[in-house]
Amino acid sequence: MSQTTPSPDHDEVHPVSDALGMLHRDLTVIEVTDATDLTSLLSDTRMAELVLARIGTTAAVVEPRNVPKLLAALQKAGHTPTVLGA
Amino acid sequence: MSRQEQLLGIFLDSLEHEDSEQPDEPLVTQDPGLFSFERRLDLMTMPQLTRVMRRYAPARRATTRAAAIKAIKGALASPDLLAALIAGLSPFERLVLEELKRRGGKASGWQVFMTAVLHGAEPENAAGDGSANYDYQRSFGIRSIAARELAELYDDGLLQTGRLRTDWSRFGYSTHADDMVGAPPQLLNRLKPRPRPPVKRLTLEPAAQAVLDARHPAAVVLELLDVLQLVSSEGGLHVTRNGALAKPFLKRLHKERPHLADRLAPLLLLLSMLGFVRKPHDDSVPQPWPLVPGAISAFQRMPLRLMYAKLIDATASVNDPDIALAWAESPFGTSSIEPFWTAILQSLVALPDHGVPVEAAVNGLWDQVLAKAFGGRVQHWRDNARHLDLLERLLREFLPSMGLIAIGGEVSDINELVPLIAPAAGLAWYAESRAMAEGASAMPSIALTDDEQQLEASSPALLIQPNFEVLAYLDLLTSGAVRALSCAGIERLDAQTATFRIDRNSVTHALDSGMDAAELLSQLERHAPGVPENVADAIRDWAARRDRLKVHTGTRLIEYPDEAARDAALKHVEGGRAIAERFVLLAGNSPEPRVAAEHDYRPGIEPALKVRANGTIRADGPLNLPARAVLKQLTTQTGKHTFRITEDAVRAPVFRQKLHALLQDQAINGVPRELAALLAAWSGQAQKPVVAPAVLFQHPEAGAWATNPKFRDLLGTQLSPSTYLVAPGKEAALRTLLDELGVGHQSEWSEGGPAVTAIPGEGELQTGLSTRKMREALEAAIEAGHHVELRYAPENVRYTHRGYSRRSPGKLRTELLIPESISYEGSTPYLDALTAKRKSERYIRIGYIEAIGVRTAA
Repeated sequence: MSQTTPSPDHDEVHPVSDALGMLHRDLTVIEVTDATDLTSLLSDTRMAELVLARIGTTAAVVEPRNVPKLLAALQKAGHTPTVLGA
Repeated sequence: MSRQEQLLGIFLDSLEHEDSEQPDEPLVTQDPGLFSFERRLDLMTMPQLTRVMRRYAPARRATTRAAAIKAIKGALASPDLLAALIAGLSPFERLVLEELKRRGGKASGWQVFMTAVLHGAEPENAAGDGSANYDYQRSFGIRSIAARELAELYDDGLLQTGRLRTDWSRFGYSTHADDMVGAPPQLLNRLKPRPRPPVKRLTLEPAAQAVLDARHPAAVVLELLDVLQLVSSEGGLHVTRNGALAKPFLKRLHKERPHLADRLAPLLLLLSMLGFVRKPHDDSVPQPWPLVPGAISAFQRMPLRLMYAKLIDATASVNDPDIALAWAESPFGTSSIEPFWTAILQSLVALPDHGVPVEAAVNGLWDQVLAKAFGGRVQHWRDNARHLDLLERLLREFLPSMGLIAIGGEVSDINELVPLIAPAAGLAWYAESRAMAEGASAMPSIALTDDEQQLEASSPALLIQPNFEVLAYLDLLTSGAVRALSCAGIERLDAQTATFRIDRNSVTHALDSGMDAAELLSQLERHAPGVPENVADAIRDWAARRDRLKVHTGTRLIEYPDEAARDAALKHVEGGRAIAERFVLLAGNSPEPRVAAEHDYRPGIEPALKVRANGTIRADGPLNLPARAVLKQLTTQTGKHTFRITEDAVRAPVFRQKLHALLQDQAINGVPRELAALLAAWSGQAQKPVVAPAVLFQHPEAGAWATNPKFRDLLGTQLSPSTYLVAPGKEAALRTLLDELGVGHQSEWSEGGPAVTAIPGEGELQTGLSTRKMREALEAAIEAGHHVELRYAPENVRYTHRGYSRRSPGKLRTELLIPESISYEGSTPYLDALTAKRKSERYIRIGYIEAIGVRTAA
């Protein structure tokens, strides 16, 4: 098995090529105003374990099943996010 | 104008207009939830119609059903006949119908009946001994007086029920939905409402020296909202799959608010009854019941007194198991506890204003009020007083805790403490609000809001201190002040004041309810002489920090190839906004634009990757985000649709438990076992394999050797019936021992390498043995005390009509057996054995054994 480094950006893997776009339904999104806040948040392994993917500099997505754990983890870490329903 | 003057003025006005037409009065219309009177007429028998005719058209005679129905329907349309009917109503009937009219034509039968009783109506059949309650014709047991009395009105055509016949009217037991009653709208619209007669109070001797304590009703509301805030900080109400409150959750809350003690659980249940929390739509994932901000803010917008009344009403739905059991075991517990609880709340207004002994109050309330609805005594239950115990418990414990009853005691002549009760301020709040809700108050509910505005103008209810402490004066509290306090948590509740503290969690809770920092501060400023600057700055800072991080749950995201494509598409996406670089976040109910592909993450993510044992992955089609995350972090691309897992990626710290689980989830047929073992070894999630030299002791009778104490200490784990590991460091000792015993041994494996399966059947099942070889293998296993795994056919024996037996092999089976002995039928050998698991007997023809494996006895 060859030993190479993983692709640096998941966008290289089957990127969305159609301009119509791809709909992702029922995901939970973490949104921050400052990208460093998200970087710092994801540097906490407890939080990173719950995040499915970082989809940009200021947003990451979480699977529905992990949302209660995420909210609890945020609270435990001293964050008081604005939680908005769909 | 004082409240009394206002009430008096409206009361006099109503008397003045008693006999005049009241065109402004809203008309009662047929409620779709009730079985209409006209429909019921069509289903009545002639005797039933005759009874109704006696009420509606007494002068008419009818000999056919059609004529009777016509006469009754004619009476419904005739003002004169309806007026005559109304004039002939008994005081009880009139009170019941007036009560229904006040409540818009539909109400709980229990509550209407109780109201009539409280205001002096005497049900015609309420008196007498309990045996009168046993209605042989209509029920199988005790029917409450309320149900029986109202059934009379139903049979006379004065009342309607939800269905043609309800359990409530027939048997007197019901759920809440079943006890709804109404009356023909034509009749109610003709009835001129009169003010309710005054409540008939109990005549009880006042206690001589009554010093009674009561909770302030505002404190009860504050306590509930404080518990709500705690639940919010826990992410919702934690409920088990059985619907009970989760014990760890209760424990945490008890630790936070130890003073609530036994009140905590009922308060938590109240939150659910009031609709402040709801069961999650998706209960497949264990999660707390979320808060319902709409219901909470609607509650908090009510005047404080209405908030309190709503809270008290909801207590009837909190099904305390102890109280429900006590009621069910009483002679009258045929109805659910809920109507009885509501009736107790209703009946409290009959208590005298002064302090009275609890025992006298219990007996008075039961005998003079509640028994008139819930039935008299039945002979053989005369000694059962569970209902009185229950009533006493409520009066002494629960109702004082809710601020409805003041409680205290006096020392009797014989030096005993006699418990006393009296109505508390909460009861006045409750009765006033209830009368408004029932349409019986001369004062509209908007007057409560006006009162609160006057109170707010008179003096501030809150005092905010620079140490973040807030002092609330309970007598001055209004719903606005209570809303303002939603940004603070209770520290202490005293008789006249409450002490709160503003902190980050409490401010977050307030912001969660939809307020922003500016609104929150403006509310605090409105109800306090001022907000210290440091407190205001802290609130602004906490709100700003909260706004920096947002969690949007259950969203719909549209992903585009790049930022330019996203920006171009955004112009045509209704209700969408840009998020991150390439995504659009759709607002709640906005329509979905046409998209090239979609993925739904709620039911569990569809696997998308074909993972092979050699570490290659094939991925077709538009991939979901987890599949892309796996490919991005674990693989290198080797073709258009093919990828290869790289060792470095798996060894990197990024290969966490999460990524491993994602790979498992995304693999269409799972990750092949050999690859999973390799990945686990690479990532360090599994132990390293051990490759180390070992010395074996092998002999067909190895088990027999091992029984020798000298050998036992030198041998380690038994690997198979013929093979043992030699204990580390004991190799030389074993050889010496064998030499001492004069037993020759070899240190080299014979040609072909180690023969671990040295005896027949050891290891894999061995087939192709002759019957003799098979018997010898079995005899060896019996001798060594080993088990055997046999694939064999049971022998079927069938007798012919001439008495001869015919033997044939049955269906093959494989079993692990304990061989016991070999026996013969003629020259045919058989094995006697027991199954290893259940010790069932087996008698197996050795010639029918197809395969054998010798196994170590466990």
